[in-house]
Amino acid sequence: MSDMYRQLLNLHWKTVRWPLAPVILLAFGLPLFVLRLADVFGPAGTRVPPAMVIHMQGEWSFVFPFLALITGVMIALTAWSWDHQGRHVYALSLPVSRGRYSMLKFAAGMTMLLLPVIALAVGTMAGLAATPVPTGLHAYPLSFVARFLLAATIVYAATFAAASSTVRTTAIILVLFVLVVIFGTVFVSFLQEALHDHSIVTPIELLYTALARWPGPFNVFGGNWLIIDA
Amino acid sequence: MSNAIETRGLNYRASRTFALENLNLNVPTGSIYGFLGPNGAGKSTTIRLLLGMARPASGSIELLGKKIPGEIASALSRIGYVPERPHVFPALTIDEAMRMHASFFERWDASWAKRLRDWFALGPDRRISKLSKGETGKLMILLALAQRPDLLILDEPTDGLDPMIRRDVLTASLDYVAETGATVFISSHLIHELERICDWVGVLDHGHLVAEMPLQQFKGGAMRIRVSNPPASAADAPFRLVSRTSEPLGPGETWVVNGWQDDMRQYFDRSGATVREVSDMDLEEVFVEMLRSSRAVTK
Repeated sequence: MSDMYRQLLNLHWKTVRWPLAPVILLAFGLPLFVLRLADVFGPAGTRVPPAMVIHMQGEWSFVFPFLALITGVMIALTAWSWDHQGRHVYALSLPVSRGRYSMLKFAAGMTMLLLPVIALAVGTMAGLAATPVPTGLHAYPLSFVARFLLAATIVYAATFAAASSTVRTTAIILVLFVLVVIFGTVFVSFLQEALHDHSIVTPIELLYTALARWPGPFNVFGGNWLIIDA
Repeated sequence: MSNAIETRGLNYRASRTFALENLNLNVPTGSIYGFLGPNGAGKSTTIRLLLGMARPASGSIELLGKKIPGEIASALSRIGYVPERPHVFPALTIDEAMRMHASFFERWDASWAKRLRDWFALGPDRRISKLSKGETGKLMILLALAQRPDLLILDEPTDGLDPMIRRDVLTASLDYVAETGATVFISSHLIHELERICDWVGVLDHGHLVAEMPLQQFKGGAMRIRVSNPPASAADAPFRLVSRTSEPLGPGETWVVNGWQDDMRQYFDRSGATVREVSDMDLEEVFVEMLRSSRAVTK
């Protein structure tokens, strides 16, 4: 482990520790809570029906991608916050390439990201230890934790890349992106009407397909977030 | 003599109203080069260009023989930089900031860094966010010196510091230079301070390099001369005329000249003028007159 990485890790830890603490607590507590919910509110004195276990988890499963989103965004933004405040002067005066500095920062952030993932894994294992898995169902702790790690990593990487630039550059890119989407959609609608062909895809549809449908990177958010499933 | 910093035909437009134009800097290796200029002259912008933090529109830059921005990482490993505004992370303690800096600089001298820290009375566990402006200034110079640079680039390093701390900061820098022969490029508008330490000066005004020469030449024979009935032209004068201004309450003029020697009074006698007073000028006065003259020519 290089000394530069260790120092940047320490810096990131000092920046993120307080906002990260509640996220770690939630990552530990939420799977425990969701797993215990079905058991606690199940019929008294009887085994909880498998359908109810799945239903109760399904009701709460939205919290996990949301938590992954918060984790990724928070860790990425705190990775660059001091650099932005100092107008990147410190980083630019160091004798390392910008690419290497960014990779070291990215690696330090990924290490931070493992803390809530580990908390989630511990919370999931604790919840499974305390909750009987109904006959016919199976526990998928590893794939659940891996899904969380993947989702948080994707958001972290995307936000990290966006936040690495100056606020001005990021704003320009976002404005251009929105303009392309809006004007592209208007233009495609015009084409659809003119050619009487509604099979032409708009930029929004194209974007949604590219990002959210398999194998798009954000597909992981829409998948199955159940810890116990058939 | 080789140059530690060399720029050729450097052009950079910072805004609609301000641009650096055709900047040709020559900072000799081993010199202490004072980069003078009024606020907004472009000193910090020039430094940002030198350090690869901004890209010039055209022209070339070489630092310690390395082409910028292509070889910037390699050049930066031999450059100590103190920016105009402190740039260290406020959440760190002094020791953490030192360790962080050390991890990036192979030539970091840990024992000397500790000695400097003790000399500056900077407690190792104090958080940077709790330091006074003077203490932050000392930490900045500590970080720049302890990496054992061949070139120190100091951007207004003592601006806003009290005289005691200014002296500490400058003494530490000069001790280092005396020991290692490093080159110092120091930007400041505190001209009296530079007068004591520099051997070269460059004067920047509105993005133009107005003058660049050894300090002694810059100051050499700089005199203010009050003359009655002055000649219309000074083209054949044995000295260099920096500026001439009419006296508001009399028929005479005040001339600022360079390269003055006493026997040059004859020049005025021959042309029918009368020298009423000859007085010495310090660096600040020469600097002000040079700017005035340069601006008059530009207009």
